[in-house]
Amino acid sequence: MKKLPTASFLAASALGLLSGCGPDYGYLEVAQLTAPPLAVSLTNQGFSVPVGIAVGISVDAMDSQGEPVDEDYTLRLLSMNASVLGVAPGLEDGTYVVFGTGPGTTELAVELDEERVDHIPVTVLLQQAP
Amino acid sequence: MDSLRTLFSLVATSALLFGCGPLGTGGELSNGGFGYRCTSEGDPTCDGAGWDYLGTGVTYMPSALAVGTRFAVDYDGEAPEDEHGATYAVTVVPASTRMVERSGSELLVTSPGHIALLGFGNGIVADFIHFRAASPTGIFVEQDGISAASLSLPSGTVRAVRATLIDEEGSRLAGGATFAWTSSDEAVVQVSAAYGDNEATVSPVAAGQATIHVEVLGLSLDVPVEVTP
Repeated sequence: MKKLPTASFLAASALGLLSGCGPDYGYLEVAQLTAPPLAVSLTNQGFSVPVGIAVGISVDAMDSQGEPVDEDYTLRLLSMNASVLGVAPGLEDGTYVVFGTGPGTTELAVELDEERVDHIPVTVLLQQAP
Repeated sequence: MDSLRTLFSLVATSALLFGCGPLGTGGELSNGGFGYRCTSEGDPTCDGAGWDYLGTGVTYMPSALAVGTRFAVDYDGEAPEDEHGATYAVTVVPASTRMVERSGSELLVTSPGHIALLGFGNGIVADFIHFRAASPTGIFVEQDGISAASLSLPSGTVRAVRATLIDEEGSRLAGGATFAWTSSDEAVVQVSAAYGDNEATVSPVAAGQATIHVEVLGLSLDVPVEVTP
């Protein structure tokens, strides 16, 4: 008898998790919108951008099944070190501009409804002398 | 070439004045344009227009600017809006202050490479462009668009010359710098220019040989001049 409330609570919690109290986040889909004069690499596994270079990107939160997270949510990208990587939203919804501000490594934090759901490693390199 | 530049400057400035679309070079996000402004007489980008459009005139972004030079860029186009539809002012800032420093509305190129300029308003990037910066390695002096490695001046003939910074490949570089002109012998030839101007007037005084000397950003060039009777 004493175990029933605990079991019920656990079952309800599991059900809540499965039915999705928050968005089911899998990964960030990144599409490059602009062609900078130097090579960049922008994937959900990592960003590599030279110092001084800016890139326009479009991002979408995908669920673990590879489908766009279909609930209403607020997606936000944050640089964990603005002296290495700058990131700012663009005019269009879901677009951002990322730019190398200084050499080093940092992370790009992905937030869904103010909950941090991902960290993407970032490397910003000095430009090679021409 | 100068007449083409004049025509372009007039068109670009007219577009700004009469609101015929975004000015200057189109941004990479296609939301607006970036207009280049000369901030000193010593910027070859604004030469030969036949009228002074320093400060207010705008033109395309030059293909390359010299390290050590100054310029300004304005953004014109779509801008972030507040909840009432009012637009925020957009300020042009460099992507990295390691490569371009900002001083008021003026930008100073400090390192070579490709550099983005961002149109920022209320924390949102409206648009951006890139330009190339190169270290100047020499000075190119020309007269009427032709290289003036030396000048021959018949007595009574005044010549206009123009100096431009060049990189190691000989490409001309834009950006404002302070040019200084002197004559090795003012009894033979005189050179005059507005303060810091990259354009100068060379006037013969008496038959003989001399050199005109131009200095900018630690670089210098001597142009031999022969004044003939």
